[in-house]
Amino acid sequence: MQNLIRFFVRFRLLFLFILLEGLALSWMFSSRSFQRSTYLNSSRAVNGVILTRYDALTDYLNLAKQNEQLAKENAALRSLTKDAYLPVYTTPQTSEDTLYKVRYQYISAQVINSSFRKRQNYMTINRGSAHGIAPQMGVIGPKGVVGEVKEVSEHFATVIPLINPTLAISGRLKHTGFFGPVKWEGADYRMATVSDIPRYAQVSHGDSIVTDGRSLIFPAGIPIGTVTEYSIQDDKNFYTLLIELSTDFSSVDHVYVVLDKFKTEILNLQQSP
Amino acid sequence: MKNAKYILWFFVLVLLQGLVFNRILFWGYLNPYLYVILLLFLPVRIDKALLLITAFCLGICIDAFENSGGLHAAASTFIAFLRPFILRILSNRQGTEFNELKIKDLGLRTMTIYAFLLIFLHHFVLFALEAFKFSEIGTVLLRSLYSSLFTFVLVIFVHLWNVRSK
Repeated sequence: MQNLIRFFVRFRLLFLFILLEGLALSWMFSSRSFQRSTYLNSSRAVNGVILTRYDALTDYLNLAKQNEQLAKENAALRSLTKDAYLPVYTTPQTSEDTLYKVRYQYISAQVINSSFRKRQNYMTINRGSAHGIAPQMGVIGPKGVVGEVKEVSEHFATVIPLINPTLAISGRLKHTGFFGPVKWEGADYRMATVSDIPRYAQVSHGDSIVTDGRSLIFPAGIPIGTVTEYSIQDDKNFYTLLIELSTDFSSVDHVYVVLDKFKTEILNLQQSP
Repeated sequence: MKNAKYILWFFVLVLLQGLVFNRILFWGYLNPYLYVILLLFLPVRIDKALLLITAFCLGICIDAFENSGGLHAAASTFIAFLRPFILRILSNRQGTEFNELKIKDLGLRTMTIYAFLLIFLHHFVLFALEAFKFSEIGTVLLRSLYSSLFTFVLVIFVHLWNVRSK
């Protein structure tokens, strides 16, 4: 017994080291897997507050660029409003909409923390369950797809951006409709790949890749990127496309979270036997 | 009084790292991790267990900012464990006992070896755990080397400035 105690006392530093290292590594792995990493998350209160303050400060630095982007978006939206159209028909139109029901709603949010140079990139936005955000909702920006909501606290949410290898979304060629998984390879934050495009599909440089309605995360037709290179896969039957992402992840700031009102209905239908 | 200085350093470094240095990026490779300076320059005769616990807490605070689980805690604890051994080897080699970790005491050469070795080990563990793939060992080594050089320059700069201002 005394020997045992002496043994522990002698190697106490080694034991302390192993204990601390074990704690750190287990935290690391549990936060990396898709399960909740409830502690140590920047959606947590204290950090969220500090980062919001800091972000409010740094926002001034790229205000000009953001303004320009928002102005462009405003112009695009304004050209869609009723005022932009010249009325051709003089017959009265009723707006009692029984033919169309609202499917998608957009909740605007601001990115308060993000990374783009790591292998596992994350973002934090300043909207949470109090604003109607739930996990697995899509996030889009002014230029295109941004990512998917991962975890939600009351006023903040973390987002897995497209530049995280754990996220796979479905994309399709805008002109021809062929679709395949969009994946980020972990090297360059501006590029991603789309695989499994059939060989007989017509592909050329500059083709647009947009979201596919199948995933229930994004509305169909949101830009993902444009093709810069393409090559035949090892199996000889499919193309892999290298695409340049529409969203610049080094400067993303204002985003919109997509709320699909028919998601549960579609999921229930698909799950029923 | 002396301890208060280190506690203040702790908080200053965490905030500096979280709000300034985490957002620096050069050529896609360089991110300096200045916060290791605290582990390098804690007193020579600090209790080894206290050093380990300090390193762990420092790492956890950085992790909270970076959303990286226990990545920085693992790397920091690792170098805190190795620090006494490296110091003992260096002081045996030089044949003198170090009283204070200053360039004046250690000499420029020993100081460079000491600081760069610990910084490189820290960065290597950090990037290796982050990538966690053996096939990326080349990229990991390159990133560790470049970032270590950057951190090293910063550390020496801050250290000299700190010593001079007294």
